Formats: sequence, C-alpha cells, structure tokens
Amino acid sequence: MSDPIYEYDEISTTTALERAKIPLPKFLKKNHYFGFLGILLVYLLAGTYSEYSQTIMNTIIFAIIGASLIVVFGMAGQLTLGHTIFVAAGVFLSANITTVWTRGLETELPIAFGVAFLLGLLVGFPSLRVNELYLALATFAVAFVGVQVLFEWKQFSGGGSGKPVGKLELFGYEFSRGPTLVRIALVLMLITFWVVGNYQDGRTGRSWNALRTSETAARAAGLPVAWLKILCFGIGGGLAAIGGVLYAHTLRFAIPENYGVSLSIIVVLALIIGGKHRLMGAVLGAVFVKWLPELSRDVQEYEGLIYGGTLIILTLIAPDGLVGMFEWLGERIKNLKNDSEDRKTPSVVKETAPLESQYLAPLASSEAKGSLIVRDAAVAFGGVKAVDGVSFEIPAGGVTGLIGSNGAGKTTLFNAITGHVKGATGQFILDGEEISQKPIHNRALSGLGRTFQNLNLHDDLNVLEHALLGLDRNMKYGRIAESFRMPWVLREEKNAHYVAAELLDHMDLLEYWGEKVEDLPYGLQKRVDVVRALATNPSILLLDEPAAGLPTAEALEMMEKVQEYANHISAGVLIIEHNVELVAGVSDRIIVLDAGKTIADGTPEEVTRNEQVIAAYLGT
Amino acid sequence: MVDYIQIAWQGLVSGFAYALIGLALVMVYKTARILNFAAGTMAGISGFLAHWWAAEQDMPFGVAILFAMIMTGAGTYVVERLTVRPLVKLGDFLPIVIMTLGVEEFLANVSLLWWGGTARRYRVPGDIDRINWLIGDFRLNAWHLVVAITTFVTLSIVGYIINQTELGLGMKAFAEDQDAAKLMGIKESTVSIWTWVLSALVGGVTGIVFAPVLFLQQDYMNIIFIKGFVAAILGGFLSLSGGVAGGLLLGELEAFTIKWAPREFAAALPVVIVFIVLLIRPHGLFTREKGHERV
Repeated sequence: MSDPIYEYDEISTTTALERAKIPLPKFLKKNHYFGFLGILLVYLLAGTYSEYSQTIMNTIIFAIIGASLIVVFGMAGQLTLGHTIFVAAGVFLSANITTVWTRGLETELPIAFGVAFLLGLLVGFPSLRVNELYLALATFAVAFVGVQVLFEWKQFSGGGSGKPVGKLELFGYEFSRGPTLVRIALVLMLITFWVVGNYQDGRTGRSWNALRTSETAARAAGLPVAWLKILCFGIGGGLAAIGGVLYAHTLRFAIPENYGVSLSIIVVLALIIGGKHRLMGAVLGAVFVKWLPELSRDVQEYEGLIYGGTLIILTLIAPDGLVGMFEWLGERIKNLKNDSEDRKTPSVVKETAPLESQYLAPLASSEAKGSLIVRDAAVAFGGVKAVDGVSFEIPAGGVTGLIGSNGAGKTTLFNAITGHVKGATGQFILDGEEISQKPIHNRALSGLGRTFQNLNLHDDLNVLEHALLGLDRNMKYGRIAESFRMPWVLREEKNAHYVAAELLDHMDLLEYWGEKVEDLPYGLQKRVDVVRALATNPSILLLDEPAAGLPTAEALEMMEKVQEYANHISAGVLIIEHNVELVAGVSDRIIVLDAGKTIADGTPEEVTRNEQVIAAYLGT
Repeated sequence: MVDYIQIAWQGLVSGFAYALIGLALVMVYKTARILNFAAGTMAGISGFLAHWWAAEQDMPFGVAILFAMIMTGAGTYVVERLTVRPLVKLGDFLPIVIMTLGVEEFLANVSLLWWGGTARRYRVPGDIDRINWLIGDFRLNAWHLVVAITTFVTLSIVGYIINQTELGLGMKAFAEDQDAAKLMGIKESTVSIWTWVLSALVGGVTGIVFAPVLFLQQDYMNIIFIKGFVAAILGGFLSLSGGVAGGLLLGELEAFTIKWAPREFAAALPVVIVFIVLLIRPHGLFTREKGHERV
C-alpha cells in the first residue's frame, strides 16, 4: 500500500492537480507543433518533387482515411471492414457535383461529409445488436454489396466504365492539379487530424475509449453507449468521405470497382500496421502502404503479400503497430539512460482536507439526496426466482447495508435497480422520479452510481481518466464545440481535471493518477471503481462488495473515505458486503436477503440478533 | 409452373453453396468464437488447386481432388498453428480476427500471383457441366445434380462426425462452455485445430464443386463467403442446422428476387437481410434467445 505522507503539518494551499503535476489540457500542445511543422514541410516541398506528387497525394488520402478509422476502430473499438463505402460516397458525390452541378470543393466537402455521416449512422446501426466479430462481417458484407449496388446504379456511378470528375474549383477559382491539390489535401488533413485529436482529448473520445474497454461500466457511468457507437460511424464515415473527395480529384475518374472489399481491407491493415490508437499510426500506416511499392518493381508485384505478412508478424509481436514499437523502443532507451532511479512513482504531498478545496467544496449539499423506493422487485432466470418481491424504502442520506448468503440475490437486486439485468419487474423510484423503465445510462444520469462486484474497469485508461469519466455526467459542452476545441470546452475540461485530482487526493489515489488501471494492485483497482462512481456526483451510491478481498484495516479505511465523501455530497449509500463487522460498523440500517426475499430489516443491533438471520446467514 | 420449379431449383443449388460455407463458418465460431475471414479465399484455393491439377497438370480428376483436399487440410493445420494458436492465450478475440484478415490478404495474393487475375473455365471429366436433361420443360444440368449429391454427402459426413465421434463431442462441449470443457480434460488445442481443418475441408469441397458453376477467378469464393455469412446470421450463428437452413432460404430468396425485383435490389439483398434479421431477431430465425448475461 501507499504511504501517504501524513507528517506534513503545514497545510499546503496548492491544488491537488499542481502537487501531482497533472498536465492541464491546453489549446496548443506539443503534438500540434510537431504535426504543424511536418505538414508545413511537405507543403513547402509539394512543388519540388513532382514525380512523387501522386504518391504524396495517396499517402495524404490514406492518412485521412486512417484518422477516420481511428475514430471507429481505434477509439470506439468497432472493427469495420466497410469503411470504403464512405470513401466511395465521397468519390462519386464529388464526381457528380463537379460534372452535373459544376460546383467546386465548397459544395463537395460539406455534402460528402453530410451524406457519409448519415450513411455512417445507418451502417453503425448493427453495432448495437451484435458483438464485434459479427459486426466485422456485417460491415464486410456492406462493403461487398455496396460496390455491387454502385455498379448497378449507373446514373450515379457511371456503371463499370465509371464517371469523370470535373474541375478542381473553390468558390469559382479554378486550381491546377499537382502541387496545389497536394496543398489543399494537406490543409484538409490538418483539419481532420485536429478534429480527431480534439476528440481524443475530450469527453467524446474518452467515452469511446470507455465503451471499447467495458460497455457495461460505461453505461453505469451514464454514457449513452448506443448513441456513441452509432455516432462513431457517422463521424468516421464523414471524415473518410473527405478522403474520398480528394481521391476523386487525384484520379480524375471514378470507377466503382476501385472501392470494394480489397480497399476496405487495405485501409484497415494500414492503420493496424501503423498503430490504431495514435494519429501518428495513421500517418505511418499510410507511408508504409504507399511508399513501400515505390521502392522497387519487385515490391509492387508482391505488395499484398507483404502487407498481409507484415500484419501477421506485427499482430504477433507488436499489437500496437509501428507506433507501439517505436514508443516501446523509446521507453527502453529512456530507461537505459535514467536507470531505475526515476522509475518509482513520485510520492505526492497529501492535502489534509481535499473536501474543503475550492473544487470539491461547491459539491457539498445540505439537502439530503438518494431516497430510493423499491417496490416488488423481482427477477427470474428461467424458473429460478433470484429476486422475489423485494420492497423497501431508503430515506435520503445515510448508509444502508444489504447482506445475505451467496445466491441470496443481492447483486441481482442491484442489477435490477440499475437496469443491468433484463426482465426485471417492479418499481424503482429515485428521489421521487420513477426510473424503472429507463435504460441503464439514463438511470445513471438520474443519479444512480454503482460499483461492480467483479471489477469492471477500463483497461486502457488511467486512473485520472476513470475519474473524468465519472465527471462526464455533469459536463455540459457539446460535441460540435468539442470537435473544434472551443475555449469553453477547454475551460470545462480544466475544471474537471482539478475536481478529479481533488477527488483522487481524497481517496488516496493521487500519486497513481497516471497509471493504467490494469497495472495497479487489486486494492487500488477497487478504489478506482469507487472513484468513478463517486465522480458522477450520484444521489444514491450502490456499492457491490467494495471491500471484498481487502484486509479489514484497508477496507475500513476506504469505507471511511467513501462515507465521508457521501456525507459531503449528501448522497445515500446502499452497500452489499459480506464482512458483517464492517457493514454493521458503517450502516445505520441493514436489510437481509435470503433466497430472493427480505427476511430482516432494521438497525444493525436488531438484525444481528434476529434468529432467522442467524440461522440463514450468520451461522452460530 | 415449371418456371417456378426451375427458379426454385436454381435457388436451391446456390443455396447449397451458402449452406456449406455457412456451416463451415458456424462450426469454427461455435467452438472457438472466431470468425475466419480467410475461409472464402481458402476454399477458393482448394477449388483452384483441384481443377488446375486436373486440367493443366494432367492429373486424374479424382486424384486431383484428393490432393487438393489433403493440401487444404495440411495448409489449414499450419495456418492455425502459426497464426491463430499463439493469440488464443491472450484471451481477446479481436487480434485473432485481424490475424485472419492478414491471412486472407496474404493467401489472396498468393493465389493471385499463382493463377493471375483472369477468369477461366476448366473442363470437368466428360463435360458433365454441359449436359442438360429436359424433363418436360424443366431443364436439369447434370453438374447441378452432382452439386446436390455432394452437398448431401458432405452434410451427412459432418453430421456423423459431430454426433458420433469424440471430436464432435469435444466440439459440442466447447460450444456449450469453454471453461467447463477444459476442466473436464478436453484439450482445447486439439479440438480447435480439428474443427478448423474440418471447416476448411467443407469449404474446400464447396470450392471444388462450385468452380464449374461459377467462373474460376482469383476471388470467386468471396461472394459465396459473404452469402454463407448471411446464411449463418439467418440461422443465428450458433446453430449448425440453422446455418444450413439459412443458406437454403437465402438461395431461394435470391433466386426469386432476381426474377421480380430490379437488379440493384437483388445485389443489395444480402445486406438488407442482415439488417432486417439483426433488427428483429438478432439471435437468428431458428434459435431461441439466450438467457441473461452476467455482470
């Protein structure tokens, strides 16, 4: 366990965030400068190596498509093999707009984005119903059939012989292709990368990452998982269509068969080879796929063979692609230099009263929240009634314990309340609001926070991000503002960082803020789960064995912290716990379940003396 | 009337292909929860090998088929061991799917380099595929009869293996509960590899027997692969017989759609079906919904 430094007497006036040296989101960050420099370099050189301008164009287009795939696959984790239909939409819309309407880029880009966005919402729909394996094949089928439909739809696509693309124009000014096109493409790439990067820093990207690693937990934190999943296809599709418009102008001729399954697979392969979690991965993947064939004619012939082979080898040795490999190497080199001295987590000075800090103090509420009425809750699995007509009423504030032997239906009751189990009947009323018919995330938004018996954390995210995920419930900025990194988005994000840091400080997790949760010991992981629930600022907090597997001292310490925080925000707590001593110590009232029914309900003293309870649960 | 019988028969013949590939996909998915994206290409290579050996290398047709099947089995064995097996212990299925994508890209290019991209049509012994019998107005192609017979034989053999042999028992055990099956002492890697091989062989048979119906082209099995997948979805993806039934149903639907609907719609039919099925019955047409998921 950590050893917070308690002996510091003087109360430091700095914020937890500053003490832990957590970087704040800024309008411009290091990546922006690097990205901008790189693109500026290509921009200036665009005219110099005209024999390579075709390859440069293709690389840029692939990088844009790769960035759009990062949204769908890298962040939201939806493996899509139908991504080229969005590219095709861009290509053929561009061909039609330039020839039939004789309009320029100012019309092509918005229409291509809009149409592909809507198409994406449609294609994303199956992702709600099926698992990722299914989805991969469903989108594969979409790509396959998409080309055939395009082929038959001669009016739009020109059929097998294709359709010519008109002039390259912007607001009536005609541009020559070649270097100018490369420059236009670079600007579009800059915008695409910027937008995707903004998502990575904002709540949408965080939510996508969360649903990739655990949908169940993401729902419990109040994230609209269904909408987020569909949205990722919409945004990914729209951005890919921008790549499509550029494709149309580079090739000057749109032929349906170019945008089939094989292109779909190649763009996915390129991104995986480059690294699917970083924008740099999209660039590296594009460079790999587009510049390798330039090396020699032999390579050209064996192109696909090499891509396939590289993917096979990389999947085996470096699942995070080339970027992952470079990062790993960089870390090794850094470690060699620093030896192991700096490897230790720096200890952070403990603030004595994070709750009184300017960030947590406003959350204090004098009005008690969290009155929960459960009426006739019942859940049946086949013929087994796991929960059988349980009714109780928890007044606002205060801690209520829920105990019972294994299989008594405690967790199932929780799942019924939060909506995590199908087919639950009964009425649940939270703070006077009926929530029985709401989906999981709306119940969470109504003020239901929960933790999980079997840890349900987001593996790829760090501790701070878990706290931020919880805070998402009370964030206000919209997704469009987020796309463009508006000042108020940053302001709110900064504030959220401060709040999260204080909360982590309160739960003694501050020094681990940057650790990925899967690297933490079990006891700390349990705390992270609690932090995520606390951060939602819930009215009622459902804790499912928060102390299971922890030594009693540690469990007591944690419970104390949780109780303190719950009191601070005046939330009610309902806690499942096997450790009767612990639960009797913290609860004002205990409810005992046995075989799905309530058998006792009263103060800890009453319950522990109740004969029926002793017989059913406590033993002699 | 005869017109309808003709269409129905046509649909049934294509349905056989979808059913077999659907069966091959469901088999691997059911036991190992893996989708093999290389399945179509692997089946295509089997078909190419058999017909290429027979027609261009002067091998007797039967021997060529036998060799092609052996190659399919052995090749699948190697592919599974080299690429899929090392990833299984990671416990995440997405890398495996990506791996099969890599394999598919690799193999597709191998066959492209080997046979080139042009479509060809090899002769089969006795030109059976050119024999047509007229029964009244009903036209029956002899090779279609061969297709039907082969399908039934294959299905019977697979049925026998699944219901009567130890391998089949192991497959069922894994389909039911992976962990329990391991605890009962069934070796996962053994069951997995033979399931892969069996699935590839079913695919291989499909590739060989349908090559004369379709043109032999480098990617001629891809369309069958997609439709086999649709068949599997129709059948709920966890039921072998459901996959077969789904395949036959899809064949019929398609045949009648081509007759009545515009071509654009016929081309989009598989996707439309996938969407509708996922919308209304995500667990397939023939299976009942599974119980709850544990949180």
